[in-house]
Amino acid sequence: MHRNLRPFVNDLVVRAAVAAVVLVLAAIVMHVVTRGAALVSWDFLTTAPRAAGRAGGIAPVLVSTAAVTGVALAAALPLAVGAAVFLVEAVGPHTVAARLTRGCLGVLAAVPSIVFGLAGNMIFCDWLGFGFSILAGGLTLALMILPIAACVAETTLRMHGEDRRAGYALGLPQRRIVWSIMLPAAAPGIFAGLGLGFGRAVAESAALIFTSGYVVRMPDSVFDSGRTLAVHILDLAMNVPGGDGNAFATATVLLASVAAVVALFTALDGKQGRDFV
Amino acid sequence: MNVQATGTRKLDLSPGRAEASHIRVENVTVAYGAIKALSDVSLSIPPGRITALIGPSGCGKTSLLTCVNRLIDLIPGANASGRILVRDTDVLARGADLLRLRKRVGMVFQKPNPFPFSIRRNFDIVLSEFGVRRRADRDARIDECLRAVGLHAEIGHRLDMSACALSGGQQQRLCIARALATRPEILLLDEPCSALDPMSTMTIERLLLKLKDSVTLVIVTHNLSQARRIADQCALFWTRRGTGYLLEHGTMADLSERPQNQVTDDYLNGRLA
Repeated sequence: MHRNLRPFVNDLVVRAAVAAVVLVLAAIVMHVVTRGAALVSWDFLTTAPRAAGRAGGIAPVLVSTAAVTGVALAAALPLAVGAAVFLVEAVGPHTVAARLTRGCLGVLAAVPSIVFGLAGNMIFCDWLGFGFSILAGGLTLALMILPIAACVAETTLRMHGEDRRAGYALGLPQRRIVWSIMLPAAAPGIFAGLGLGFGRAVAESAALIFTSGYVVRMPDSVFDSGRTLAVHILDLAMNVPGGDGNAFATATVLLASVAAVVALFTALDGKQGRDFV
Repeated sequence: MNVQATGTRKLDLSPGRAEASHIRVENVTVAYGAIKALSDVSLSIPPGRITALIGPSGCGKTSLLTCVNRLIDLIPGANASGRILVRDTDVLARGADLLRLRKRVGMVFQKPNPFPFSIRRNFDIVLSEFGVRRRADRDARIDECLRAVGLHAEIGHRLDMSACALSGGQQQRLCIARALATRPEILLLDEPCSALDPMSTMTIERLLLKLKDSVTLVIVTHNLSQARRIADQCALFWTRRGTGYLLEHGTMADLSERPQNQVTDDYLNGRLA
């Protein structure tokens, strides 16, 4: 290639790649929103579905979604932070324990969601006796988002290696360094990891059909079965003739809530960036 | 490099002239896994003075420094042998009380590393751990530390701002102040001015000269003029086949005017990099 052409071609390739990414996202969002946005209203958000979801709203589905993802994040947070602190503080980076932990997290990340569903059904619904419930679904999702949340938490804690060293140099004990320095300093990054996990959890359907079920009633407690947004979309699109309109409206709500949560966590992460200028 | 050391100046510990040493390094060898970084160093560091550790990169100065407060323990695979007596406690001994040691021996790093919280919290974490519980007592101690590093006038009235928003020089002085919060008897400084502009460097040097009355200072520096300006004693490290060793030790005037090694003479006069 002629030397003068090279920067031009490089530039073109990069721009084309960026355009492709943006276009794919824009196409999906447009497709969903143009068909669904008109049906989203205050009534749609606050009433129960009727006629198997063809009519009515999604109020119990929203509540179940919030409950399932809430349980998932609440259970994943201590597990992910615990694993990350263990990897950073308790064991050397290349020890057997560290490699084993990372290996397990890697395998967990690669397990297909349908397998999580079956395992969650066996462990939480059967063995622990939770039945088809929001609790069983949330705990299954917690295991799914654990690898990414733990990985991001570990990376963030390692970014604060200087603070850790400063803490030890001051004669502070390990518990003080972890609780008063590392975790508060790494909190924005840890929550960003949870935000990524939320994106995966809220979009999940396969793992939830076998664990939290798809009862569309308003749940009374976490021991009730509940249907999430993604499961509702799947059901309307696959099993309910004439449910397309509400499927797109529900998908619009799902996209909007993911965008809102991602924006929230990005804002938190951005704050961390400013602190370190 | 094609230079050979001709010998190490032995320390004069004879009665009368010798001062009591604050830190006594005896035959210290440091290895990282199979790689020996520092070999058989013996050195005496007097109290209330500034001792500079100088020499080219990779000759084990920082390794020796981190042995004194056992921060070297944080590096996986690192191993230090020999003895380092701080007063009469061998800090390299098995079972040494590291928390107590690090409270007595503070450290300041090359890159300023304030915790990413408010200035006040940078001190509070340390002070509350060491039993200063009452707010008024803590504030008094923060005041005292900031005054000691000349930061009080600059930031004493805005303790709730983020420590990361300070300038590099101010951050480094804050780190020195934070290290002083435990009231250490020794302060180790690992190239504390290498990331700072000349004005901030000058401020820190003045500060160190003031501090040495109350704290023994050991500073690693690549800046020979800095060593000449502030150090009472100087230890020149060199390398032989990748392993660092102590080449010569004495006052800066001894080393500059009456060097025992050709290498010392060449290094201090800018004929070797």
